[in-house]
Amino acid sequence: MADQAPPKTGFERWQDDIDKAVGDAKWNIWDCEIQMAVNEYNHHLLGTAGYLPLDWQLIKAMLWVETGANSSEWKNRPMQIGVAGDPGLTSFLSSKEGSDLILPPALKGRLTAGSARTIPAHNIRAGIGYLLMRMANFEDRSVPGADPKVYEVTVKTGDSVDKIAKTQESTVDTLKKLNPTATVLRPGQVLKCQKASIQRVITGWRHISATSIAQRYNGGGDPNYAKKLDYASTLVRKGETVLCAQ
Amino acid sequence: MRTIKRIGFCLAASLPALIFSTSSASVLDERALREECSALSQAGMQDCLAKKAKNSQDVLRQAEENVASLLSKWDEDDKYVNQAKANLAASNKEFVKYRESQCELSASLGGGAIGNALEMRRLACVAELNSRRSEQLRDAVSDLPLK
Repeated sequence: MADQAPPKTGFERWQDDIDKAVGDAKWNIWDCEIQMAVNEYNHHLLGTAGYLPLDWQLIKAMLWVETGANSSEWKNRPMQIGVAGDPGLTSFLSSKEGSDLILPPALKGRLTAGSARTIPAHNIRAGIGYLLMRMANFEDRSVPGADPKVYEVTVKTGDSVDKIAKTQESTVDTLKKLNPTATVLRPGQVLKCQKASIQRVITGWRHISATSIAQRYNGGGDPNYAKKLDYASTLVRKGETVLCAQ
Repeated sequence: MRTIKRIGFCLAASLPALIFSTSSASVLDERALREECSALSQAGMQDCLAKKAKNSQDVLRQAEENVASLLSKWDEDDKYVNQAKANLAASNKEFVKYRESQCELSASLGGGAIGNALEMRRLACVAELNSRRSEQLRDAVSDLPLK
């Protein structure tokens, strides 16, 4: 009796379906939208802490893994961000985690929770933005204000560095840097001061790969996500590309 | 008396037992469930896991009803039957609480992933725990002497 072939794994069955995508125009309908969106982000982030331009074909592969043309979600939420109660979209739009540094100015105010859930072009942009936010390394740093003038303040009774920083709209870091010898404050002492504030800045980027996307965008939800993304990337690069108006 | 002690233990103290129970061949763990649904896109996976969670819930409801019905037919004094029924009700309630917090934990292990990925983790966890609980309930009353 011939040996029976082992049943196909989930990944192998997924491959069987995705193989049919190559050469099927339905799977390329978002090509121009993806290219535009990726260009917007690349243009905005170029020169930011060693940012390397995002490859639009990787994002296309993500769309194939997230939904694909056979999914009913393909024409609404191709990047799948924004399901009901999605904390990812909420944090991205709240600007608290640094998305205000990621989002191109033209998208600010236009991209909303409602639009990201219903307009595919916005869902693609929200997904890319969220991915980039998850790949950026942020730090809260003291940043000099618009007025670079260094001026003097006199220490009063009960003052501390923290209190002076608050009242002078400066930061503890700035005061310490300008007054390196002032370890103990005394009333009447004169300190140098400069306007500054604590701001979130991008200090670097994680390497963007199938593995890091699987970890940071999918959180290991699909045990085969990285493998799928690698496979879809190969197919995307094999397939035809829609010509887009520049 | 020994029988009721065993049932009481199995039902009321089912939560630690759930944690330490050896996995049975018939119950897939949550990772295996996600692997099965991985034949689909992420959107499809969520639907697939939502179906698995719903089915497991139906099976669990059936198992709970079955245990309650068997307890009514149990060849034992009413006092002990009623005690076991009360333990079953308490255990069912506690299981729901445990499942909720355990599956919140599973979802949170997806970290800052987008919502559908977190939901996939939660749904797979619900499906696994429901299936384990169903099996545990079936085992608990499998050799109950009936009237």
